[in-house]
Amino acid sequence: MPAEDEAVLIARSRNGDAGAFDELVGVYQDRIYHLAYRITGNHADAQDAAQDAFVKAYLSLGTFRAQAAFSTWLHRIAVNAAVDMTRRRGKRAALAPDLATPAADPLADGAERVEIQQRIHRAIAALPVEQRAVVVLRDVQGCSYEEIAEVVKVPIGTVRSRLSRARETLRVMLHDLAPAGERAQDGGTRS
Amino acid sequence: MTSGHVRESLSSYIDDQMSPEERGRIARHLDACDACRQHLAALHGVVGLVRSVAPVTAPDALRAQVRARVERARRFPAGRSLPRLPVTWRTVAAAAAVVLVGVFAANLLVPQLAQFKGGIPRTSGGRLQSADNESRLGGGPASGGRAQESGAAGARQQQAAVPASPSPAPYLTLEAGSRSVIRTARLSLEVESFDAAARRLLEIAEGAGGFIADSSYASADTSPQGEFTLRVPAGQFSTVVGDVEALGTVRQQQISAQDVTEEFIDLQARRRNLERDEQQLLGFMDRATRVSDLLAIEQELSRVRGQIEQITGRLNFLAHSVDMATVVVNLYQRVKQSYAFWDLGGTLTKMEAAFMATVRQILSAAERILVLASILLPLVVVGGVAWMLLRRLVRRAGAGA
Repeated sequence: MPAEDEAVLIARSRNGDAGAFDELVGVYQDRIYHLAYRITGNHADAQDAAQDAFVKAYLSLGTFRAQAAFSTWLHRIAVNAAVDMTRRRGKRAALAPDLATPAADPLADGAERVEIQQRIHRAIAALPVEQRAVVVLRDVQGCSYEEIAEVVKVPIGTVRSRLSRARETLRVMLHDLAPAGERAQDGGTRS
Repeated sequence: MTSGHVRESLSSYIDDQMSPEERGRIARHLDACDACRQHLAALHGVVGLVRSVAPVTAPDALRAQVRARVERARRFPAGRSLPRLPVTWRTVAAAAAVVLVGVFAANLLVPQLAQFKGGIPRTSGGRLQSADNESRLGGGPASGGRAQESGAAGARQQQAAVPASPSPAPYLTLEAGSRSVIRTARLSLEVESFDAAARRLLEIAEGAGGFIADSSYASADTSPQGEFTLRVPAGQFSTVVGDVEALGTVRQQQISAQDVTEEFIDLQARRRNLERDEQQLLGFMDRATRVSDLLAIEQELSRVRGQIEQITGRLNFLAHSVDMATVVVNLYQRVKQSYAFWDLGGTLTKMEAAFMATVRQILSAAERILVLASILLPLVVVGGVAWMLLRRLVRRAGAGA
């Protein structure tokens, strides 16, 4: 969506146009939902968190400063909602990740693939929630370090160290799944 | 692992989040270090894995749910959600702490400050008071050495004890014209110079047409003190008391007015009766024939006359007391604050007093805070719980439809 259109939609939403906001939800719902799902670890909480995030965004559009990217701002609200939800649920969500995920995965093309996806999902869900948010923002959502710092409201140095620790933990948990030096080469240097 | 390894930096290396120099340093190390190269490969692998997670699409219901909630929020903006308590619990706790500390400090300081304003060195005043009590035991003129006086009249005695301030005293406005009133004032004064004040007392007494009936003088420690009993005409009483007060700082004042009107009338009536008895007895004596009768009458007559004398004496005393009011003045020379270069003992006493005062204030402040907390705590708890329940209800109503 072109930025001007988005700005128009935001302005109209701010004036109370529910239809305009609905369009914004349509644009962002998949990204926000995915983010919430990876942080909360299950669909039920993800749905609640995403819902809360959108409603909260609508209600606090008045405080949204136009110079901040709407996407970043929305991500912050969503991360907060998801982290809150996770904290409220305690460890239960992290220890019982949703097993139904891969069924909806159009890329799933076999039992092994399903198994790998579940392993990755569980490994992410086992991380401390602050590290989880950072690694999901970086490697799932593809945010830059600066955006992450803005979303999570921590200095870039903290983003760097959290990400490093999260990846180290994941490396240990998933060491048998990463045969691929070649996979590392093709996906690794994206930044 | 040796110190040259770069594992901690590899995550940032993958994302190219570092300066060119740092990047070059790590690249050179990787060329040389097999272990770190393997580690980098493993890290690349895991990043690739995470990046390969299948995107999840939002459930179809999500957009509709958001739309419904937004719609409801738009239509019932007031009911969309009760506001959070406008502050976080941490803020509340901090504010409570500040308030408590403030109350504590105020509790602590206000009495202290008031005490300092009133002047801590009240020690001289305290000594003065005890000395005054001692002198009172010596007996003022009101008791006059007569036992009868402490009867019904004593009960009618009206006393006005005045605090040690130079505020105008509640002088009694009874006039001696219609009623017979014995007026007595007791004053304790702290004066600059004892001798000058004593001279002025004499002038005041004589100027008012009275006299100094009694005076005693003592020089305890280094400060002279004494008691003077002034007798002045009743009409001059208020003037004299005012003049005496002007001599120094009034530390204690007591003014009493003893109404003896009824005793007066009673005594006069009894005297008239006794005088009639006397006349009657004299009449009997004229007609008496037997010596034994004569002796009996004589005896009775002398008894009656004795009583008449007694009553007359009492009446004279009362009349005199009513005519001449009494002012008892205790004079003290103001204690010199420092007769040496530094009054160490005095300072220590003051320090001790101040210290103990603060300790007492702390204890009483702590007590007050506990009491205050006991008052507020249930209210805060009930209010907080009610608010949380209300919020939850409203939120459930909001999420329900």
